[in-house]
Amino acid sequence: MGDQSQSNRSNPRIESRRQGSIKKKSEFEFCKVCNLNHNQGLRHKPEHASRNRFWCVFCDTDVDELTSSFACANAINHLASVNHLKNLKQFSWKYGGSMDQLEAFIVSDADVAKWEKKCVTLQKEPVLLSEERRKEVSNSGISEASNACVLPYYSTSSLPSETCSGANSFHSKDFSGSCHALSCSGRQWSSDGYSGTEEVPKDGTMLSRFEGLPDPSAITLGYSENVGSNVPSEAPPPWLTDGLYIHYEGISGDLVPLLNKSGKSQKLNPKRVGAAWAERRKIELEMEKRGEIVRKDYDANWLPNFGGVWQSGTRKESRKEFEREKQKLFKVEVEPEIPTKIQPCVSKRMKMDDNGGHMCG
Amino acid sequence: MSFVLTTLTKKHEVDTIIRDTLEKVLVLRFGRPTDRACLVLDDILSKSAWDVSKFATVALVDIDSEEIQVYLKYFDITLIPSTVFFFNAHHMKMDSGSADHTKWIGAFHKKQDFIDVVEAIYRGAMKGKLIVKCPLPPERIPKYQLLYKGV
Repeated sequence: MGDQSQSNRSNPRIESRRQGSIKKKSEFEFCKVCNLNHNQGLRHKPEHASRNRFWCVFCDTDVDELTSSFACANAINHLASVNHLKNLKQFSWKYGGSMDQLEAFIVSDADVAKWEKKCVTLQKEPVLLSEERRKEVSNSGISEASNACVLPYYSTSSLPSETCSGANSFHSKDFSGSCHALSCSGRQWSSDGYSGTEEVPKDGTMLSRFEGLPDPSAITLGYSENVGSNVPSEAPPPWLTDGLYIHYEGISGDLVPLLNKSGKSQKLNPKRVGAAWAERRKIELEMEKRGEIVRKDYDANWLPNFGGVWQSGTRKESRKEFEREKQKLFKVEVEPEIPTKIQPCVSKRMKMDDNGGHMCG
Repeated sequence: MSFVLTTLTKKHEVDTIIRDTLEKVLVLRFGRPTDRACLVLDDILSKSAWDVSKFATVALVDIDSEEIQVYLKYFDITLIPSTVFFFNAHHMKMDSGSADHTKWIGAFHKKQDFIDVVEAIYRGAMKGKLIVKCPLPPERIPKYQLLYKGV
């Protein structure tokens, strides 16, 4: 009994140790897809979407599409390679699986030849292809190989079930614990080169994730106003056709470019110093440049706006006062000097004495 | 990077630069190239001209020129170097605590002082102010005695 109780007591310790070791083990793991160590465990999702590539689990390699001339070119070449077939056979032998299923994960030489032929014709043709042509290319050469798409973290698979546990991990070579290879059986790669994102279909098939931008799709115009009037026909835009357009016509052609150019000055504070002067001057300079007005020499007596040191009053007044003083100086210089006769000073007393003496006599 | 600054000797040239400098501060230094204080100021102006080129234009005015005498009287320039500021042909004043707010008399201690002053004027002008406060501390503002009509 005592032994049992002791064993019971020790069990939690053993379990905790196991958990601890498991935790320690799962603390940092290496993800081959992302090529980095992480401690996110099952939460880690390898980043494929942004890197335009796919991971071939049979060969344990990354197939990059950045250097490919055509969409999925590198992937197709990889799936058609001898090395891939060899690895695939090895994988199948190791983890079980019938040889019939191997064809689903390779691209035959015939398909590759067809695809290459289409690529060559596409290169010669104009850049803008219709969707149909693109569909042809994608469907003809690679319908078989659509089965061979692999995705890192989707767990469903059509491979032998004993290898699949539904886990999402990609970062161990122990395939018994995780499922990597996914079958796209029967499903062709979409014509636009991109389909599905996070979805996991119920039948376990996987959608292709060969990243490529979706093709632009044509839209139908929802409005029918001003049919025929558009930018190429140089028609006015609709917001100018409701009365405003008439006003627009009334503006003289000369001022329109000036007004357009003064758009920059509209960003400046209209209350800044000398704003009115600046606007006027800009228009004048513009007209001078275009030769509409002749640059005239302004008055030689022109003076700028200046607030004097000893001024009292407005700046205009100080300028006027200066001009007045200037004119006075000028007048003084211009007027000729009249010769004055110098006479001796005669005082009042002397005058009175003269008069008094006269009266006494 | 130093600039070779334009030297103006005629009234017409001064008028033109005042009228045609738009949306920028115009810095006019009145002095003579042989004066010691003017040389110090000119050195700072030429070194700073490029730095302030986006919002200021700098030019030198020779006070010994005959045509410039009218401006010496108009601007009441009695001490050199005197630096007058304009924005869109309007005269800008600066209150630096000295007797004369209409101009900067003397040189600057360093390049940054000049840049700060020009920046303060530019900012004030853009806000519509004709007089701005000097951003420099009093110890870096040159002192002088201003006499009324020589008295």
